Amino acid sequence: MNMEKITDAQEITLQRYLDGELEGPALQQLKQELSSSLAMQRRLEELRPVHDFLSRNSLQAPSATFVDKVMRNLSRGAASPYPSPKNGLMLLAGVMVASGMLAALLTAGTFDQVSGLLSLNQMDVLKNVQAPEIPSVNINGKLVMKILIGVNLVLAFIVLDRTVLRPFFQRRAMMGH
Amino acid sequence: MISLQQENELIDQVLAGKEEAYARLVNHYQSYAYTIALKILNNRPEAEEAAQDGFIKAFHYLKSFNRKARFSTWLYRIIFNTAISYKRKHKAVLESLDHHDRGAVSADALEAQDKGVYIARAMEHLNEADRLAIQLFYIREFSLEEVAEMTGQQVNTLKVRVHRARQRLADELTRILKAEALTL
Repeated sequence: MNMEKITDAQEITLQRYLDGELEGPALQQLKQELSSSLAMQRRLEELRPVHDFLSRNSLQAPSATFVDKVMRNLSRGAASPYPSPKNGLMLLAGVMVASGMLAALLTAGTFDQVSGLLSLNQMDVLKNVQAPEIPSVNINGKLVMKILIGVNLVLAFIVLDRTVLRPFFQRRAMMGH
Repeated sequence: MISLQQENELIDQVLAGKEEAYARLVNHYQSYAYTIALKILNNRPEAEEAAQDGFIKAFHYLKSFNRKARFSTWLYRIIFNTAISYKRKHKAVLESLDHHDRGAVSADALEAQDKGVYIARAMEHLNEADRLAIQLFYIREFSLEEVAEMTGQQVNTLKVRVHRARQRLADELTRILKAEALTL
């Protein structure tokens, strides 16, 4: 069994040959190589069916009503996977106003007093039930508000991305810029 | 066939408000658009829907077509991007191997047909970009430059992808045929 391997350059030459790109001396040289190399011949026979199969690729015809369907739907506008910019910007404004208000209240010290231990064991519902000891939770109002502001900002970024940035870059890509 | 001049006249008419002129452009490019979408989506109804949607987008964006490139190149890019977003949205199921022109092959080409089935199976092992590159490259109506433009790649990158895909397909076909021979 012949275990001879062909080089990358020879592989490229064979593919160029199949594509009909080789002419004159280059074609003659390949023919000489092919006549003296079993590995080259074998590789050509491996590549040829792939080339022949793919060469059968041709244009496909859509249904007979294709043009009519396009023309009927011209007025509906292009379907977009993203929310309309108007709705998106309104939502973005709402999220930003909410974040701004929370930040202003936080700066004014409104939540400074909202902190302490929350003991679930003292709740009326649990007094009549024989439940295991539940640990108390330390609530920090400022921290909770900071987390809420952070979540709002992440939400704002997602809205900005979906309604402004992505449609903008998609439009640029469509235009081929 | 529509000449470049006729094409520009049709575009002018569409921009002037004559929608019926657009029907001629759609009629001329429908097979090209549909084929691109089909190669990406591997699903005929979805490809048809994506190609139609692409034409509708092109109609609405026509004002911004600057005519530096050919209309066809610009249109193919829109169809390509539309089909890619359909694929992301719908996660299209690969079409059955039976759609690879089995019926169109004559009886004396049975061996070639069987190899075709194996190659189609091997295609499923290629990565998405390589598979698309080689399929579009082999549609003789598209030039290498057109395919590079529509897929947003450099010509050299596309050549490398085609070369690599063909190499892998040949290797995979050889492997499958050896395995088949062993089971006989």
